[in-house]
Amino acid sequence: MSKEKYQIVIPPTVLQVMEEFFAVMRADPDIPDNAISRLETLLFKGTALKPDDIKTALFEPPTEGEI
Amino acid sequence: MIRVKTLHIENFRGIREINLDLAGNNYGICGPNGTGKSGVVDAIEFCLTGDVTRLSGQGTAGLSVKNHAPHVDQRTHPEKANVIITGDIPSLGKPFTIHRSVKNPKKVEIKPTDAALKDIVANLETHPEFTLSRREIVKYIITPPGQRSVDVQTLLRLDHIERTRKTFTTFSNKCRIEAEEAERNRINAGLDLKTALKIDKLDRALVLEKVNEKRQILGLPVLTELTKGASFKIGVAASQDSDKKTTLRKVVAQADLSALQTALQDGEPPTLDDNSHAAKTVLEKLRDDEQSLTLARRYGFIKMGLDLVTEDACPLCDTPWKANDLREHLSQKILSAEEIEKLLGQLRININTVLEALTNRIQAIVRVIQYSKSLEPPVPHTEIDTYIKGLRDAETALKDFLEDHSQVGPAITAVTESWWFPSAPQQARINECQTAVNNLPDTSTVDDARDILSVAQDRYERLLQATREKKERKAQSTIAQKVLDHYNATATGVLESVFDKVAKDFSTYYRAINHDDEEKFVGTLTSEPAKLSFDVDFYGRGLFPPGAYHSEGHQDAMGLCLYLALMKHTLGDKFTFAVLDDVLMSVDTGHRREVCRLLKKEFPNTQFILTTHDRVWLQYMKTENLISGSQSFGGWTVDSGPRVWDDHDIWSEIQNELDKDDVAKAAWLLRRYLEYTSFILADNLRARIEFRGDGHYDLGDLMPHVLKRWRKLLEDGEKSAIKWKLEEEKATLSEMLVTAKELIAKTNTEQWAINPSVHFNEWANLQAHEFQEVVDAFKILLEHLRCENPACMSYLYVSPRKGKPEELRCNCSTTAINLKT
Repeated sequence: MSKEKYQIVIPPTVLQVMEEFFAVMRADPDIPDNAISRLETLLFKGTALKPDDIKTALFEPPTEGEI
Repeated sequence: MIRVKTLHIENFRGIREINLDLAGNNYGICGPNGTGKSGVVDAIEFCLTGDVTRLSGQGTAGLSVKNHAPHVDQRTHPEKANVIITGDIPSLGKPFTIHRSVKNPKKVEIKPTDAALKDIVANLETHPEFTLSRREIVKYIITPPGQRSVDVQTLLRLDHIERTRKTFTTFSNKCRIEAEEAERNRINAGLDLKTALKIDKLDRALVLEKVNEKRQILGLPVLTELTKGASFKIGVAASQDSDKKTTLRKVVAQADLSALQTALQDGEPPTLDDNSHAAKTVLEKLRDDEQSLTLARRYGFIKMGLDLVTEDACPLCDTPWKANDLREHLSQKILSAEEIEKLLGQLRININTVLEALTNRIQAIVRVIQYSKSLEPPVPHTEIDTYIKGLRDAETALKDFLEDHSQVGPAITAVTESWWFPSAPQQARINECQTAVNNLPDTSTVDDARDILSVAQDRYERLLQATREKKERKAQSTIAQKVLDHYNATATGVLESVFDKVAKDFSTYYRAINHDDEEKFVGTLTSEPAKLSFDVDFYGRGLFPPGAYHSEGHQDAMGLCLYLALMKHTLGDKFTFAVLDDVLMSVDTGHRREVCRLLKKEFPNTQFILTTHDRVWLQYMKTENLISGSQSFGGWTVDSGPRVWDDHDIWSEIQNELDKDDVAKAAWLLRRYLEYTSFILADNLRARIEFRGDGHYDLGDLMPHVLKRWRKLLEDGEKSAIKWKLEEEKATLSEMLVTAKELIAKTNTEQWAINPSVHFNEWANLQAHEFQEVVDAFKILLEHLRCENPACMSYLYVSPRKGKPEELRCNCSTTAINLKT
């Protein structure tokens, strides 16, 4: 994830929280890495987060070719 | 962030037209209340954000930028109300011009058109905290912890963290609710399978035994194990099975109806009754708490009410109450966050138990309706439809509450009204259905076995599906909870660290201002869920809220220090611009120089625009070199706006009036300017002025004492030079003293008290050439009181401010007269 790209919109403290949060998440063996990566992409977008988006990121990745 | 070079304001608020040249440096604006200082602040805020807090913040109902930002005479011509700022962006090294008109406040013209510039202006629009007024200082200092948490988080731009935390919480709750529902579905699927096979417990061996029993009747081989893909019907001819693709299989229908009737006859299970009652109690408690919170608007209000109960009456409406009873009453209305959390945890268990029973009953009644429809002739089921509607309403109410805890009322109804027993007509229809099923032609044992296997197969598959679903939902709920826990722990840890750093900077700044009497001062910021407590040391006696013991002046200083600490943390080296609007009005004079030094030392790269109604305060800013430019407003009229009062222009303005032979106007200008200046000089020189309780000093109260003091200081300096045998200094001071006496004599100031004809009250009656002499005398006299260095030109002042005078000096140290003898 390119942090520089988002530094304008994400304040430093928020960025720090996100970085530490994902480090803790990655250290948790119960949470799949690919789910973490999808959630990371979602959060670093900086847009308003919705529960359904989290669900998709964590549990329901769109399958290839799905419309 | 930006640095402002020039500011042009036209027809905005109380200002007709004004141009300020800030040159990108710190700048002071001074003037009595009502002279237009805040209009300048509003104009800066408007130009950079498109908004004016004073017209759109709290308590501004009926006001708007569009209608009330233009000068009152241009209120129907918002296009004539404009603000233009030029400046540069230090981080980009780019100059810019920003123009905004009240005609379209949301539209901003930025030149040059540059994406980075646009981003910075967009950022300023959403975070206008670069302007700080005293009203805003208060919100950081004396607001309740809950509100402070919101305000500080907004300033720190941490609202994103709170929003993310809330979304993760919502998501986690949703996953937990789905897992609970999946668990209920699994339990009910198991019950249905037990009913179909007529077994008491869901045991693999028992299920297999019952299934094989039916298969043996059909002459089919037994199944050796109950696998996930097990088919109870394997070997049953497809044609035989398809013939029975109906919702009504007598033996199964009898079992289902019998199970329902047994449950009804046995009555409501004690566990259901207990959970319903427990849920009701908690729900009612929450409802009562919510009502009290609604009435009081917020928790803090009730707490404040508790503090205010000092007499036997409600502090709000004066209704008679015994003080202790009222305290008890209010205390009962407040449920602490921890208590609510605990209550909700138990409540979820209670409600899920009720929902489990409700789901089971709904399923049973759905079957009754299906059977009633399938019978020939069909059994009427209108009454049963009503019953199931009631059941579903109760189920919806409880599910809604689990998702949204504000839906308390319907949930209370759901756990209060008895749904276990159908009404008599409803029960009659169930009986009728059962009778009709029983009256169906008997089926053979073989048919029964085939029917049971077929239904059991469906229900077994449903149980497997429900079990898979439950496991999946449970796993998702566990992960969702973990994600939330990780986020909470991380955010709390980072925020605590942030608040520790902010509190440390805050304490350092405050100590710098108050080093004389609070050098051990510390402040703490403690983050708790949804609140931010702020406590400060009070002379080593402990930590207390800032408003508890500290004076208003100290609170003002704390507000500024906290603001600076927060801005430093939020923006770091991007904190390049701030407008402080009369924020230190109540800081005592003894600490003002320290404030100036603090701003200079700790924020050398920040451009401050400071407004004050206090001339002495402005002078401190100048003498401490905090500001390099300033503008004084000497009055205001609705037609012309602020009267600009400029050190450099005043003499030419007076001369202009004299040239027009308007002595009265020139006299008025000189008198006002000398009052303004002598006020500053009185403070600088520590002149002995006769004290006035109303704080109103005219020229006669000030100038003679200022000049007397000036002479005395020069004499003291001369004595000191003699004592220390500094011949050159002594000669210089003797010369200065002679000059001072001559210049003072020319102004006739010493004659004011004894010769009315030269009193300043009579200036307006002088001839122009006579008054010209007065003007010239004062002009030269005031030059005499300044540093000679053209780059400094500051009025001399006595150091230190308290105690025995040690030195008469200027800002640049070119002049430093030793007073010690």
